[in-house]
Amino acid sequence: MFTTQWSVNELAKRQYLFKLSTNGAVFTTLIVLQIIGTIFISGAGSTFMNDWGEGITFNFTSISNDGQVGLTLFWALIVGFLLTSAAQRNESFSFVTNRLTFQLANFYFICTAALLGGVTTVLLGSVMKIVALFGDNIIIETTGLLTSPLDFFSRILVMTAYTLLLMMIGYLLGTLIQFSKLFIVLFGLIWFMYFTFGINLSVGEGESLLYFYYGETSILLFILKVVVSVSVLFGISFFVTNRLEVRNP
Amino acid sequence: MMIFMVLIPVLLLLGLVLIVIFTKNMKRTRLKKKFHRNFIFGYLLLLLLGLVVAEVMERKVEHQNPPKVNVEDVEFDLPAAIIEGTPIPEKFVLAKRSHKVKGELVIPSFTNAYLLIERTPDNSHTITETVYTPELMANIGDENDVYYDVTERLESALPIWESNLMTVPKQPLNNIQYTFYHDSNILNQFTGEKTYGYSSGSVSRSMTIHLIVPESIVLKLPELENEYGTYIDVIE
Amino acid sequence: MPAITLKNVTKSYRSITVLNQLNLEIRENVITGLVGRNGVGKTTLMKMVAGFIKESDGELRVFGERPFNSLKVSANMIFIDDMMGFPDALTLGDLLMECDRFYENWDQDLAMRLLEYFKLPLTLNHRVLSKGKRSTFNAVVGIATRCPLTMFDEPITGMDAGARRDFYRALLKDYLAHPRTILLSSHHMEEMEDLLEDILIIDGKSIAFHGPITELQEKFLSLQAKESVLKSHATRYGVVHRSNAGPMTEWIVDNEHTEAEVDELKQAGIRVSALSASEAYLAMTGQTTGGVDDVYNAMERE
Repeated sequence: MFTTQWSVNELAKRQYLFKLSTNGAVFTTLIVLQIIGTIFISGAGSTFMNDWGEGITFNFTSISNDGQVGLTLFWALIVGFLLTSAAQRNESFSFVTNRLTFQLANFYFICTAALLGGVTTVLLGSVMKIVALFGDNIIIETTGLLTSPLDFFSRILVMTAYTLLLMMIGYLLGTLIQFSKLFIVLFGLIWFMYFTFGINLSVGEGESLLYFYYGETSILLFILKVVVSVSVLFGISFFVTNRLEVRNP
Repeated sequence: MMIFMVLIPVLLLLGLVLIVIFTKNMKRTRLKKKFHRNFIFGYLLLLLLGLVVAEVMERKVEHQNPPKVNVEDVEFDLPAAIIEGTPIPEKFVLAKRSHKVKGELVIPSFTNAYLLIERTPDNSHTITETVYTPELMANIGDENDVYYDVTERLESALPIWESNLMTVPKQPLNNIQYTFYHDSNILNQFTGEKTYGYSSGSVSRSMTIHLIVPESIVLKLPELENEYGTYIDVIE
Repeated sequence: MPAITLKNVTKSYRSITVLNQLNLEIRENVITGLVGRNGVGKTTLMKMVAGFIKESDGELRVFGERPFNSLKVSANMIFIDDMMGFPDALTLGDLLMECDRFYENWDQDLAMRLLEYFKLPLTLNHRVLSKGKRSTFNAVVGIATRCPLTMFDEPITGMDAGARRDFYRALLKDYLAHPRTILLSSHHMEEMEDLLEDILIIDGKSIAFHGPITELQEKFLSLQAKESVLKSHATRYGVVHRSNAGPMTEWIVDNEHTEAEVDELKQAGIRVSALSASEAYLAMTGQTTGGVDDVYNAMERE
């Protein structure tokens, strides 16, 4: 007879802790990426030069954490994808779980990773600022934590939100591909169509997809949009994975 | 566009492979899970330390952002203002001098300055000289037309007067270096800070010398080689 | 109440049917041996019971619950095989801690002692273990979790004779101290015969035999004599298997003879003997010696 009864919450929590302890490398990868990125970027800040031939030349070196932002988002997409691998699934199913707790644990893990991505990227801004402060004639456009703490935390929020979104997109792509390899063909086709028929996704276009998030000026609406998007992405992943057979060669 | 179509998936795949290999390797090198935990917390600690250092340095290191000016000020047309006699802001005036000259005024050829000569019908021998600063305004990736006025950092050498000879010395080379820091645009969605594009530009003007010369004084100006070299204008 | 109930359970992958219309009840707190030839669906049956894969049709119940996506079944069940996905990042010691996290009846002390006995240091990674050592570790996990339903799929893969003996011994001892339902699949039936109470033989997508091991032993008789003698006397009952070993021919026949009939056979000079469970299993599933010889003999004849 049954001797053990777990609640979904309790088990999701334990699966999450298990995921954390087995996937330390995921976080370490981010850190190594960020460190390497920071070294490269700060070694070669983009320099612009203006020479008007009047004996006056103006050079400036622009330093920002754009590079780290890009790397972190890139990492997010790939990690989201990797979490759906068969190995990850088999590891979890070696212990007590069902598909719901497995997915919830994945989701908690993704949230944790997104938070780490958000916090580290914003903090890397201050590292880049230190690099800038060693330069000549400094112009600093970004206020620090003490000057405007709310801005500082809004940066963390925004970065975390975008990291979370990209991870969930990667997670959904991975889930669909795990479900059927035919999705690879479909995604390839969509990608091709996108470039051939030029569905515009670029920033600044009032109706583009990116602008839906990026153009939002109200922080509450932005949070709402992200929460709804993440729920939809997770919902689809959940629906697909809930019928997935595991340990099935 | 077509390049991106191929490049982005290739980059993504490359990244995927690299990260997979990297994480696999890391798992294989038998790093204890404690290692990862320590590494992560150590890194966070280091970043927090970086934050503190940045906050302190920002206050300790003497730096002041140059004043910002709007595009209208950037487009202030100094020669036109001189000719039309419209008021010129005091900040542009570098020196105001007058010189006694008899007979003729010789001005040898010079570079990197602009000379505007106004003739007056009086017979005095006094030349009024007003030297206006060179000017440099820089737009650093700012999509709005707000410029940093870095005029203060420019150096210039005043004309030298010896009896009836005015020489404009070789102007010091003004090579201005700036280091500019701003957080990524993505992060500044709700901070009210401006977004930065990748364009940049600067507006500069060399030193302007305005001479009011009585008609009784004969001007001996250098021969201008071509139209582009017109750095001397005489208003009759 | 039976631990596992199957009613008309079918499992198929697209057009291939692996298990067809199984009806089965596994008794609670009994060690059942699951035997069958390669690819008859032993692993599929176990994975279905574990809730890893979904039955295509029919009703499958484990302790009254449908196992697919059941947290209750997962929490009270462990499925051990040599493909268990243990994360690379964790050492054996870490893995034991994880077991402790997930399984309520987990006996950490027992697991540590067993690993020590089998010379498996806690600092090793699961990935670097040899095949036999890995199987040993997995088996230790299976024993120490003390799940109400414990399933071993080919647990002895790669183990040496000593380790196999020790494993069966440890399993039996622990079972006696903490009775539970155990499903054990293996090709080496002769080694686990002493351990088993029930036997479940799967052959050709369905159940060939399910019942106590003694029943299997009594199911058949072995008759040995010259072929002509057998042909004239032993015609009454179904012959499961015929084989020629030198001058003697052996027939394995259904054991439905009355005592008088057996005496009659003996008087005709036929050696009548009982079969061991594994011999009976081999006979039933057509694995007795000479099987593959027939292929070559047939080829030579043509």
